[in-house]
Amino acid sequence: MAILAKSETSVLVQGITGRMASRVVGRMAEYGTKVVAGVTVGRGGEEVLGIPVYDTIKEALNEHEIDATIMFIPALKVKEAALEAIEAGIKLLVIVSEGVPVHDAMQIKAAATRNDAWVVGPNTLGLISPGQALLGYAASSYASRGNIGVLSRSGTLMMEIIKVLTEAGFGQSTCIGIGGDQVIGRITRDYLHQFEADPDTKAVVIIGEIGGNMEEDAAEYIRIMSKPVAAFIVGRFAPAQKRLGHAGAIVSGNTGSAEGKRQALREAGAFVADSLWDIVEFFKTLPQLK
Amino acid sequence: MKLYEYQGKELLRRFAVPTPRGVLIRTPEQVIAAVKEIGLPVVLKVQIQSGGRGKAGGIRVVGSEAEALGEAQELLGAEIREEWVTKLLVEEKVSITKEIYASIVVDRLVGKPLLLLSGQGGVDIEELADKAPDQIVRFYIEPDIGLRYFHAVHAAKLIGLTGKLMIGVAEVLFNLYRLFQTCDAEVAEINPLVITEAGEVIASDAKVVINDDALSRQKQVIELIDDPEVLTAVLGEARSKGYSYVELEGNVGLIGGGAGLTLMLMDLISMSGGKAANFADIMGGITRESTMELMDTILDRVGVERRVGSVVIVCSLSATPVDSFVGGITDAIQARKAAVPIFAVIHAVDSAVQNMSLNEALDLLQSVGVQTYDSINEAVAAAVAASKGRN
Repeated sequence: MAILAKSETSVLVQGITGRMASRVVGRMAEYGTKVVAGVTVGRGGEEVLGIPVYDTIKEALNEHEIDATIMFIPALKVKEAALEAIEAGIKLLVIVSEGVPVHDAMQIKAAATRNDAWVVGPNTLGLISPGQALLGYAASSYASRGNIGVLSRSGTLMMEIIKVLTEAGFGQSTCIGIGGDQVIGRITRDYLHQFEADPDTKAVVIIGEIGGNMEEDAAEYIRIMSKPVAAFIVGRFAPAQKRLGHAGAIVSGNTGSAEGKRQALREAGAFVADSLWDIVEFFKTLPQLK
Repeated sequence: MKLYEYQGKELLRRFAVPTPRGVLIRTPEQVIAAVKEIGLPVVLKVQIQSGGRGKAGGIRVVGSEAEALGEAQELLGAEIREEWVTKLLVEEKVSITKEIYASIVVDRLVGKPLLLLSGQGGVDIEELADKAPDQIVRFYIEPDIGLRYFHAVHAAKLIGLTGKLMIGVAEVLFNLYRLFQTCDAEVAEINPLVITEAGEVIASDAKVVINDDALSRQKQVIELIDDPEVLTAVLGEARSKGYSYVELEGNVGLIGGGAGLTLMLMDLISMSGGKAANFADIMGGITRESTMELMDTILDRVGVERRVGSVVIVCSLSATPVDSFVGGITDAIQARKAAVPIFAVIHAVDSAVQNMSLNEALDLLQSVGVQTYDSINEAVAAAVAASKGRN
């Protein structure tokens, strides 16, 4: 089954005529994702890799059923594009762009919540349900289908864990880059709810980092989860008060430290790894994954 | 971007929040004219980014022009909390009957602005939250609705205010939210918001932090920046170059592909007994030129202070062309004739290997002396060992 995106999910690409978009969309379609249409304002009537392009989502919806949208839109224009998708009734949005202003992210999140839409990102390379659908540019060549759910604030680190899991024989149900920004569409806990309810997923990996308190918040839910959770937190040795890379990765005051997160997760019963390879060793000990 | 107090107060005034009369000065002699304009007594406040300047002696009340000149001479050019003081805010001294804490911040977890209000202002909010959390009113603001005036009145009532004072504080809160929203602020804090003997409500201090990602659309904030170096630093944001770079104090230079991967790399270096010389994270789609620029920045620190003893590069590419990345690295190494040990782990699949295969990319790196590894752990161990070999 997997979560969020499956083989039947029809996908719209907003900003499809951009350079990065066309490269990524090619790979998505090759992978078997149902990419049905694209929207770039002013380019309606064109085609990208055989996919029809429209000026607005409404026009695209006249011809196609659309379940999800992936957005390759300049950061300052993301809000308008996202609100268009939400108002059109699309229930899954993947916002790739980095640099979306935090106020825009809050507006998008509010609109999404009111309309029961699920927003992945902003600032993500997307998600993959191996063997079913690729929304974005997670390294599909590393992925294999199986029972491990993966959620990560870092896209490239997610690719590394997917590689390590696959090499050890642990396939994945769905892997999601949840986003590297301060305010993202859905938080760690939200994804855990989805994985807990997904019959395909038997264990979950969380890749977290310094900044904010999403992992601490998720720990409260992990306490009552039936499925095992392995967590890896990076930034343990990062200097405080410096924003490193992700807009979301900054330790300030008492919150957001790697040690604080590790402790909260450990106390909640999660396995806290010191390295990606530790996670594999942990999974090897679990009877439900044999 | 954190604004200085005087910049925050300028914004507050634009949004109809009262502030004390004040003049910004940069040389001690200017204090005389400022004192004449404002009238004694005045308060001299150093304009630095760190908090706690009061405790560090950065706020002085003066009762005469001579005193003002003496203090201004001492404060300007001094180092307080590790910052050079180049500006002083000369302000009228307001009478205080009550100090209130008021701020609006972005609550990351909930994804909404949060209003914090307390009748016990003047102290550090974290201290207050620790000692007396029930003395703080917390109100989440719906991003698509905003802070309505009646919400502000309700909040003011909750800290025990009535009548004119309740209205005065409510108006400040209402306007503070308009500032927060209009200026893309992450934090807009007034601590203390003072009620004077005459019953006026005045913002005695201002801390405003503007969301970096929104700076390019905040003309009115950019106009407030009067230091050319700050302006270039802020607008020449590394993000537009395709990488983010922060200089640190260790001796193992590094480049990571992706912030999380880079943080892991830094952790591995520390855990292996080394120390990172920098943080450097390349973003998806980085060009060959930008990669060269970044590598060059790191190699630059090999020669000068003999600080960087080795460099480790770890990348996992799935869409950025590996030829651009590897090309940029080799360009920089060849231009510098770099004589420092360099170790790399490159993973590349999918669209990243459209123009050049991974093996070709690794060959190219090896041809300029880079030692390539499959294992991140091994590469880091080698880099840390090599960095110790120097000096």
